[in-house]
Amino acid sequence: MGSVVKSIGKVVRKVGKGVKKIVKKAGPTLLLAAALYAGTAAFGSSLAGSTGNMFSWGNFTSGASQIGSSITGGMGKIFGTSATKAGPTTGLAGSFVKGVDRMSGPELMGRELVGGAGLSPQSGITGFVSKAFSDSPAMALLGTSQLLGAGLSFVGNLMDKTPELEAAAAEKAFKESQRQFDLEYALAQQQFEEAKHQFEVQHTFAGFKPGTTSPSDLPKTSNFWRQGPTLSQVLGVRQEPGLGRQPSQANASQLQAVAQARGPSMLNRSGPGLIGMGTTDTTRLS
Amino acid sequence: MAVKSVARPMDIPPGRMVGEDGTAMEDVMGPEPVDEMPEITPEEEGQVDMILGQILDFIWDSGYETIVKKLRDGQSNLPEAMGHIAGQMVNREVQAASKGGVEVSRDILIGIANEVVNALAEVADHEGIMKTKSEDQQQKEQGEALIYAVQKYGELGDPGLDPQQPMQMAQNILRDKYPEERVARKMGMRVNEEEVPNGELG
Repeated sequence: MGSVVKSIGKVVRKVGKGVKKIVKKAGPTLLLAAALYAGTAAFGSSLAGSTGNMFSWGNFTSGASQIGSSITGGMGKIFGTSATKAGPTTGLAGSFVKGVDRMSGPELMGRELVGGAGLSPQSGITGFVSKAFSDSPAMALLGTSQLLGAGLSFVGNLMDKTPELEAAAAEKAFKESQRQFDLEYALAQQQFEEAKHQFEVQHTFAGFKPGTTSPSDLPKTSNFWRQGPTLSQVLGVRQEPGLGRQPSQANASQLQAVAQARGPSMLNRSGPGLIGMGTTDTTRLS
Repeated sequence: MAVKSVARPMDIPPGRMVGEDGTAMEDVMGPEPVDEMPEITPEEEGQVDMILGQILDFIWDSGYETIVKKLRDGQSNLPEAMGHIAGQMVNREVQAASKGGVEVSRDILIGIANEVVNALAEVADHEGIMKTKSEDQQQKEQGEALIYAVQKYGELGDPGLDPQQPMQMAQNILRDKYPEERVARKMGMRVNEEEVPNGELG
């Protein structure tokens, strides 16, 4: 009901004001960016144990920088460099500058976001949304947390704080890598079989391997084994149009009902056959 | 004449991938991952309609002049002005619904806010307050407004909001497991909403 009233009100306003344009709604990407902002801010809020505005800019930067410094630690271990070498993270802006110096590239958010002691909420939000719009919400968060190169699933896992969830995430990652391996193995095997088949086809005569002639020597994929058309298909093809009755379109249930109504034979003479029933004359005349 | 049926080969049963040691691949790979993000429920869809209907009625009818004034006052940072209005209206409606005995799903609020922001952007455009004409730029401004709306919502407070909910949603987004459209629908985003082009009736 509400939307009907809204539509009427909208039309009245638009006609009254002579409006010509409808503003296109923000797409799913920006919706996801807002949700990511909310989640990160809630994460920051839970870290600080704050009781104020859960979705404040401060909580967002706190959550984002926590995610960022966690990734720094993780990446440091991976690449054999200690995260502490670069010094403790002193906040979003500071670590972002270090990140830019170390990993500058086209994927980074613009330097204009880094301003003095920190990001102003207005420029920070503008940068976050721009990055989400041009790239993705996840990259916007990574850009905000000044780090690149870590897997997004790793970032996602950072919010799983319990050891059980961490173990589950690690197990999942392991299974995923195993699955990838299995898929690649299966693909390689398939390619090998195909190459083998091609070789056999090219090096046989009429499908037979050299020196063999029996059907059992045919490759499994030989045309010999392929199923041909069924008899009914053949009959259907051969049926001449315009001569006699066309094939009935009645369905099976209709056919069955008719068959039951009429008995086993169209002549009302059942199974045993005319001879089996004794004299043919009596049955024919009965 | 009786027709002998054509001999046909037996159907081959569906295959099963087996490893070299005879272990089925399902055992190696583990079970299929469980879908952790349910679809939007009919109840949630009803709540979107209920709350959004009320707010849009207000914007286009009794609240129109007030909103235009607020947007003019906040013209220097229009996304912030739009976001604060949207956040406030959504918060009011959710609290009112709670008092009325309807517990609104918090998952759908960003989708509702998105629709409200869009309506406010239209008002701003109609009144000549929104100077941006590029479609991309308009979208970005609405995206910013959405974040300001989230901030305002948090500022006003919501006793029924569990911090785990937005965190869970953020994880789903970061893990990138679901198509954007699906996540957006779960958040209450409307699709294929009827539009009245150029303000004309039928």
